[in-house]
Amino acid sequence: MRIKTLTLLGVLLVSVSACTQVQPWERNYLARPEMALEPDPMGALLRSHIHHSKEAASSVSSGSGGGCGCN
Amino acid sequence: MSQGRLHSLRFKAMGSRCELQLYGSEHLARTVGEVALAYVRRLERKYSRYRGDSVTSTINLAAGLHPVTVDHETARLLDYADALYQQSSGLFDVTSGILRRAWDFTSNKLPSEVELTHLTPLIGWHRVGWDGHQIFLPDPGMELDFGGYVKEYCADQVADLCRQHGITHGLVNLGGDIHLIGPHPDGSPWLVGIQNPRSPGKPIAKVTMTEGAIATSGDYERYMVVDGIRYSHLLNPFTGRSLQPTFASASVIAARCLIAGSFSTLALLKSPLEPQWLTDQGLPYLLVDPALRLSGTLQTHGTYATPAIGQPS
Amino acid sequence: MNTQKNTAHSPSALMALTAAAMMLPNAAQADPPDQQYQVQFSQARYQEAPIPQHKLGLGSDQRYLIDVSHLRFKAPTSSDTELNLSLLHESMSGASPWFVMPDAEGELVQVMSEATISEERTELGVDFRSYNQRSEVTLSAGHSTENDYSSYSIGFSGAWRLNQDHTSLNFGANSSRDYIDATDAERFNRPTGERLNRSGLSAGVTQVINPINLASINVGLNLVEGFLSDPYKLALVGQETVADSRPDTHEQINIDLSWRRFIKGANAALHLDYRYFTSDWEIDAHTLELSWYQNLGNGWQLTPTLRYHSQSAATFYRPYYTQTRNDGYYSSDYRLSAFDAYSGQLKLIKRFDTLQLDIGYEHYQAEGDHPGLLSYDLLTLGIGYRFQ
Repeated sequence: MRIKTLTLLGVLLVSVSACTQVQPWERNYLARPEMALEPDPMGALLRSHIHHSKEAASSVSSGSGGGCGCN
Repeated sequence: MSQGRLHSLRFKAMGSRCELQLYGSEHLARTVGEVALAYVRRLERKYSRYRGDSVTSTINLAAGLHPVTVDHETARLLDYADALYQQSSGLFDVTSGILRRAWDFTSNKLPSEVELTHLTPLIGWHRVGWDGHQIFLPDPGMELDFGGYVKEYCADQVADLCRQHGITHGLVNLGGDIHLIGPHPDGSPWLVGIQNPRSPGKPIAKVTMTEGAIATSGDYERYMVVDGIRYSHLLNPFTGRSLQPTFASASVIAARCLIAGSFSTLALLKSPLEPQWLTDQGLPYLLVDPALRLSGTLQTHGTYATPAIGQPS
Repeated sequence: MNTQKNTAHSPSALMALTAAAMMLPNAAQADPPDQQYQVQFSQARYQEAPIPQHKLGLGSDQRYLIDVSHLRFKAPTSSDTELNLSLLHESMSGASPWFVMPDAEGELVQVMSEATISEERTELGVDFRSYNQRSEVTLSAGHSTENDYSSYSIGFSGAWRLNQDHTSLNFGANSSRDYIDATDAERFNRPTGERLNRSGLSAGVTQVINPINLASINVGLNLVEGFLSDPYKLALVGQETVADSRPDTHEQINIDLSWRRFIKGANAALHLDYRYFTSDWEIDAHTLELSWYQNLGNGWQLTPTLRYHSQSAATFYRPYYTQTRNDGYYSSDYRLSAFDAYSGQLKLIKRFDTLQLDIGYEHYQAEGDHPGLLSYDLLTLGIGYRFQ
């Protein structure tokens, strides 16, 4: 597991160093709503709650939230 | 995003006619318009020569007295002024605005040699103390003026603000300094008119553009004719005299309006000594000579009936 | 003060002026509060498919039908702060899996509760977001209540924008305390007054790669302590049933990788997300999700999503137990079993001036050895309105 993690981090660092400088005037695609990490927070919340109630893997991202809603 | 209709917002700023043309919902266009206008007004106030509380006045009032510590934005604008000075071998000098005292283009009278010899010693960016944080004008009476490039800088910033609010199709036009946010929603280009230097308000050529910025400098912005000779507002900071540009106007296309405007101005300032300078700079350009002959690398689209964007109307 | 100017002629005026222009500040900020009010409402219904007769041991074959209503309200509170309120109501009814046993042929069958259970859950959440040019923080608090379960949570998250907004460092911490009071506790000898504490930490990086590519990595640690068993589930040990009983701590780690790419030719965005999850119950899970956000013009957007989830079983999980365990842990919950799940979703959005409508459908199917693994169909309808 540790080795996997390190490999992932390594891959990310290599890919970050390959980044190009993106000027503000080139950001019109990145600024589009569908390029957000989560374009639909409300829908994502619902789906993650449902998946969480059916699967073992929960996750920590940010913010709070709780409750069971299990069956 | 809904593409929406085309919304136009016209206003006057920095002594010019300005307009925003934005595609989007009415709500979005209104919101973005308010943000953009607030930004333009802020920049206008900050660098106005006429307001006692502006950054420009603060620096000028301290001339010969003490250095002034400036904010980050002003510092980077002063660094840009330094770059302009270097690249123009001193012809583009932000301290040359003081010549305005001798040159009154509404009077049809040339300034006297005495007036100019009093003013030219107060010009010289090389004598200004500038260390990246503090600026010091060494002599009382020296003046700094950001007017030569702050409007172009403003056009770029407003375009970025529009993009950040989700506008992908539209343009920003600040008195002919034009920054395209993006083409029309169907991908077709904008038609940008280049002003006829001898017929105000009429285009001499039209260029198609989908992105980037275009700026034009001309000898027609402020000028007077005395004894049949045309004296334009393009002044030589070393002599104080109006320099006689080889071209009536120069238009340049670049990714940023600030760059386009700098090159079009430099092209005219340098033209008496280096008329070929612009051809070697690697940017698309259009030159109009005093006989209204066109030259350059920009593809133009003849004459037409309807006024294009970029024309004072 | 140094006067550091000389009239040296640079080889390229374009390079020199561009370099100076690039140092100028940018008026455009990354994602500031938009100074608008926003109201969103969504209604979702999902139906779990009935358990197939050959997998049903005893009880009702009807599983849950769940209705979720969600209302969200966002309001600017100053030029750089905003408040988010969220109210969610869930009502569930159906039969619940009880325990697993082998049938006469030795095949696993699910024993279900007989009665139809009806439950309600209400969740209230508050987020306060404060924004700076270079950073932002969000404080959150939430409360969820059901007749047998209540939860209080608080959270803090933040982001630092570096490297001219190319890089964002994200971090978060959250904590919750849950109270469990099982219904019909005396009749079925179920637990009451139990507690569960959860604390989580997360950190990540989001990086702009070029004008059309964006990537993100996020690592989360979750420590859960307290009553982690399911008060309504049983496990078969030999010929006896015993209460579901799990360790009282669960340490979880998740690593999330995300990639966003805009495809100019198609006017679409591609989303790829991968999650690795591992825990000290020896559950390893991999989740892969692929979405295609297709803009269709006139404010229409169609988004198909495919999701694949694969997990290994918890170390103490068995569908049923032939002998007692020394550690005393028993759970035959399908959530802790090894399985693969596939899901496909289609979502259509129409944006008007200040109004947005959306409709979505998802089909989810889990496959594995556990007879209680389920499939469901989810339908969502949403409406959003923003104003000033």
